[in-house]
Amino acid sequence: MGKRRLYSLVLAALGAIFLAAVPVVLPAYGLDIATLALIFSILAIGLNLLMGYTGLDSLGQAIFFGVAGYTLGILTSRFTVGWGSAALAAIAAGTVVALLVGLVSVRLRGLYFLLVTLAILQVIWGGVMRWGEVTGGANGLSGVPSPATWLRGTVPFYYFTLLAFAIFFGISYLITVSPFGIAIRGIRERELRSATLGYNTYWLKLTAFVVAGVMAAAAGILAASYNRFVSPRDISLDLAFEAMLMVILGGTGTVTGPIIGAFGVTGLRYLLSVYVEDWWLMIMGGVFILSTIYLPEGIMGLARRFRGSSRRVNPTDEAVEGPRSSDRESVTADITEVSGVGWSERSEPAASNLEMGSQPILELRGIGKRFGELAVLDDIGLEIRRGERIGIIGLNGAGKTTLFHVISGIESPTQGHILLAGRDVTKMPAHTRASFGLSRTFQVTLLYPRLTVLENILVALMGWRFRRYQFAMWRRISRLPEVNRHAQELLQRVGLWEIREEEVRYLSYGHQRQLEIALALAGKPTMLLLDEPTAGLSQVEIREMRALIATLPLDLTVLIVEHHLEVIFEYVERVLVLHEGRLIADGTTEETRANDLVRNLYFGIGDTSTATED
Amino acid sequence: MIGDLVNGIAFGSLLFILASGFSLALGVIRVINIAHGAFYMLAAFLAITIQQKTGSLMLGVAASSVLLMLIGGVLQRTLLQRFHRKDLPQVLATYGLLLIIVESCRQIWGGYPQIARTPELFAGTFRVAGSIVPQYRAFLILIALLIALILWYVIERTSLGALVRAAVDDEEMARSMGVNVERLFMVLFASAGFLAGISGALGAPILGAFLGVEFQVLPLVLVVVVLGGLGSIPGALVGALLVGVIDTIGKVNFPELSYFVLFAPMVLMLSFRPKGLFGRQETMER
Repeated sequence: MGKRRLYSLVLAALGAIFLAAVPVVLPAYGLDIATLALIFSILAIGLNLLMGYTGLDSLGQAIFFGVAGYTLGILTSRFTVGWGSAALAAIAAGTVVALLVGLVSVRLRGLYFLLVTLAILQVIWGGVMRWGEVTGGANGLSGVPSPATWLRGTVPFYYFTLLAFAIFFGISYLITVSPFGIAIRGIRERELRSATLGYNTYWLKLTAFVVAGVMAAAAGILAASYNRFVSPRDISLDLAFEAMLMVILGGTGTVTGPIIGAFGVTGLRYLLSVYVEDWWLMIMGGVFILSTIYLPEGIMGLARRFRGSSRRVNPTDEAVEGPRSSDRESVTADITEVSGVGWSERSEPAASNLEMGSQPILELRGIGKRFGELAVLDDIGLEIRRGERIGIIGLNGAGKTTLFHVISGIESPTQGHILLAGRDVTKMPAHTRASFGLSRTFQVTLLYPRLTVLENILVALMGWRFRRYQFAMWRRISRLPEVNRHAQELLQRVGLWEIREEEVRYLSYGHQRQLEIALALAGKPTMLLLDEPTAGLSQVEIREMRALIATLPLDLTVLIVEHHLEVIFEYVERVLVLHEGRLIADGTTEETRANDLVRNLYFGIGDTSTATED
Repeated sequence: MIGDLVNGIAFGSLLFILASGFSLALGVIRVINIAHGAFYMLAAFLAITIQQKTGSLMLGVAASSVLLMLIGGVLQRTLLQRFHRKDLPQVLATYGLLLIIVESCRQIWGGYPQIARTPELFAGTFRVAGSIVPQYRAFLILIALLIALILWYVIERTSLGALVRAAVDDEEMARSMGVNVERLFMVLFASAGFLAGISGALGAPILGAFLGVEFQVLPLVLVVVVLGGLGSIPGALVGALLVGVIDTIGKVNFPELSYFVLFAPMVLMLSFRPKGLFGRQETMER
């Protein structure tokens, strides 16, 4: 670690010295390229925040670049507003447009988000082309003034740009190590997980989108002021794709990648357009195609491979084995040891709204869920009291996981009502329910694979319990002693503290299941839904998991879906039996064991003709 | 007014033929083909050249559609298949292809706009409710309806269509049932190219061929798809007719702002019904 950090510091220092010395060492056209590259770096840094950290592949950055450029151009050349006020107005315009575009687009995902940002960009571009009276149409607008008389020369303007670049680079670096930065990386990895942890992912994504939009607007203002000219190219698909190419070519999700990419693409573009003027666009086309084939991880990825820290480049090797599997015995020891202390010491009063009187903590009234013709849940009604431990059993396809999805707000029921501590939450989203103290695990492990174990826990802690830090961009996450202390406690309890720096995708499956439970407990929930915690585990791992479950705090209400009946019967007092979407039995473990219907269905005793599994 | 309306519907019909190919690739293979507008441009240039050489636009339509069918098939097989279901590399690669096609057209045909002559067969006009309607526009509307009908029939009523629907619903399952998904996608992308080829050639007497036409049609196609819903053919038809009429009437009445008139329905749709008129929910928000 230390060595790597030193290495980065030396590189950063060399980079800074080079950038400061550009006007002295490079010829005039080199200065031109460097100025443009710095401007585009700001654009690419913002885009990288979206693509690399939030997981939003946006073609919209060119919109805010162009809107700011045109606002500056129109105000200064048509209305003779001074540069300073016009630049402020331009930043404001870019921000407002980013907010509006973000409002309609960030709730969409993947391909559809890409399509919608593309569509909005293209329509606005078309508008600029046709609205010639104001925008100058295809000819653009000339006569954009320089920011100040002393900035007219290329060298002063270069340093002006360098200053702006340094500011935005600093901001983006701060964001990547801030609580907000980790929160948005969580969304990139597993948005659903973040929602069930209490994150309102929409607002976080919107915030990232607007921050990136402000950076694009700043770059647009600099470009217009440097070129003294705004043209439809500044709001075009070409610019949007070049920005993307910069980010990808440099290395998506790395701090310096976008800058390397911006210098690379700008330099290449310049050289090509000078030396092969007729063919350069065609060559750029080839560059786009070839780089997507041969450089999917960008130059930074290539450099990483070259340096030989092959682990990140070739994940399969370790993922199979899982690190430190020999530590397993000691992990079990940790858990058993911990069980004496228990999870139950509650230093702070649980910030939950579920602790009201004797009313049921969870009540389902006539819950039904249909997928088209198929009724997966049918008229489920039940009441659960605080501190109860309840097992849910049923054959595959009985509707157990769907029931959990409906309770936690991932799917909405087609009928009926859900009450959490007397409050009707049927229409409330997953993150609101999480904030009422509801937490869950998933049958198929739902973690943040490319975040470390520690970062996973930090994300979980900030979901609800420390949500005041979700939007904090100005401080390092490592400088939040309280949050880190809780993270350490949690990880020590599940025995994962030693491997806190591992990325989760390299963990063994057993460790992942344990981490899954730690995430669910991070918010100090009052109610926990465990969806098949032992699914896919080895015998040894199942024993560890049972020990872990046995240490859950006593006042925590637990619903557990499990196929290993011994786990259920050991742990719960009450068992619900689901069959083909209906609740066919609800009673104590003894009653359930004795129930003929259950014995038929589940243990295959007697007539099994009704137990058709589909 | 009636004349504008008919012209709008005719333009919408042309847009439908173009957008249906785009929508097919988007809905089934999940590729945003940025080069779709460039396909249109290439087809238009080629059709005009063939008309100039042989005097027949229909020959141009045939040649353009076959050429773009081939380009589409080869593109899917050699390039896009590598990035199956990876949105970003696909989009970047099709943008690279767009640059290459546009530059090739510039090298071959130069920068001057060209326009095809209306085929003699449809050169006349007729009157509808007092307005003069060129026969060629009516012909376009008929062709679009025919294509819509064929697409509907193939997708809903034939075994090929059943395979396509199966592959959309659950590609892995379709694969494990022995469907050659790669070949299916190649056929589909070839069809998308074919439709772009037809629209470019048929549009040559109306829009003509010039550098920049690719970006004149692409935004319209995108608006059509957002309005109609991702990958929906009926959605593409309704969306295209809507956009065609709005754009044509807007251009006549307030030429400079007509684009923003298009923008409004798109933003409204995104705000209140992001899946579009006929879109499927699960493809949108997950």
